[in-house]
Amino acid sequence: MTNSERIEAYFTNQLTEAEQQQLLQDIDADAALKAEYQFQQEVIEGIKAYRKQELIARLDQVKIPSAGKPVWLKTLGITGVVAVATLGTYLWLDKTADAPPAEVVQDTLEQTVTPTQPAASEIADNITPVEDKVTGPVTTATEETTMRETPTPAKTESTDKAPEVVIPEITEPEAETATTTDVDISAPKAMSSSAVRLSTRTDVEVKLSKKYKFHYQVKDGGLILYGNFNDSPFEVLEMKTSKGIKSYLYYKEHFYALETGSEEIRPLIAIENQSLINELQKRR
Amino acid sequence: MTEQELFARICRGDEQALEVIYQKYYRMMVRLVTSNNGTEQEAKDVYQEAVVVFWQKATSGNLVLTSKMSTYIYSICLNLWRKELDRKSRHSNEEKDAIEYQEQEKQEKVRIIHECIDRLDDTCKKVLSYYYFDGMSMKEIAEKLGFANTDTAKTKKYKCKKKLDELIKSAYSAHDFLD
Repeated sequence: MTNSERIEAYFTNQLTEAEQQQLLQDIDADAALKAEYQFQQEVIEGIKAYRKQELIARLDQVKIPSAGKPVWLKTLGITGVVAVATLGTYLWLDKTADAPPAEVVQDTLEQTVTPTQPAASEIADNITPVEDKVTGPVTTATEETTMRETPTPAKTESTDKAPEVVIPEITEPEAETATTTDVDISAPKAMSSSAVRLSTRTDVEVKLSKKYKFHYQVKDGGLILYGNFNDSPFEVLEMKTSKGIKSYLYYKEHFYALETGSEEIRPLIAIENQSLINELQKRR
Repeated sequence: MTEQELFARICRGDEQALEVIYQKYYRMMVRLVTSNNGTEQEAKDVYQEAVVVFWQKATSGNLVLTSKMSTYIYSICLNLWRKELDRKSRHSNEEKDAIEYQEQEKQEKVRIIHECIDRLDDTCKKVLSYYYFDGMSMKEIAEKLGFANTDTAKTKKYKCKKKLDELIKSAYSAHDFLD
């Protein structure tokens, strides 16, 4: 095998471990071989970069459908809201049930099980004949909207569907309710129409503020984080339990409970309840 | 088309199947970055990079998929974005300038190499890309490009690479990159 062939074989992973070591030793001892090695390295990296550019240019040409949701998707979303509301009401009322199922929803994975509440304008688009009634609770309006929707062919998968939608059943850690040092993580009145609720497609906005260094606010269904959150990615988790939907922020290896019941700006306080942390970590 | 069929097509080097995947998961992956302090453009760049990584692993036959494709691509996106955030936070402006300066010569060489590849015929470009980037075997290249057999593919690859080396050495000499 010539030196060129050895170098070629090295860069295409066709040498044994021993042959690789021998080549590297030879390169150290031979300046011409070293120069050839560096040259081949550049050429092969160049070919790879060329191909990568070619593929990316091809992907750039792919037309992405507009963000506007088709009618069937709206219907699916609205139906989902009604289904969740119904399930929530059932869980709320049926307190005698043994260990009701719970769900962990990871926001950044765009869980679709509890879809975003459609914006009022979206609802209005579909319910012009009953506009007057939109002033009531949103859930009422959506139910009426669903009633008026023309049934569309069942399509169970959105193209935006999150990967591996896992809806594990968990039981609430017992210690949670007994802990007093934690922030208030009691069940928000998630199913109450007056409660502010984070949607699973929560818009998260980060704001720098002199007054609020590490705070949050739930406003208009979105989450505002106050402080410098640029160091590390954060994730918003929603956990559906028998007590309602609870939201948590995961940031820099800590979990923070998010009180979704009001629009007040609150400090982010790390959860200390180890069993809850373990559960959230596991689900995350 | 099922997930398995799409994956099988990608493994065979079907670029149209890659486009399908790219389009299918675009919004989901982009939202991952934009909801974690990224801009739309950064999100697109990360997603494209992730799709290319996925492609390379699939076509080289080194990928045994044990999850959904979307899950796999999602994890690549997440890792790439974490790295990018880490890079952003670690380097001050001065450090960035220094790195940029060091990269200039490298970029110039890459530009020269790309110009030389552009001067090759289409078959040569494909043979070299499929072999060095996609990691295809000679048998796969022969089938994909319609060569009579693997020996023909090997010979073609050898000639194309030799021609490219010559073109680059000549261009390097002109730019004083060779001693």
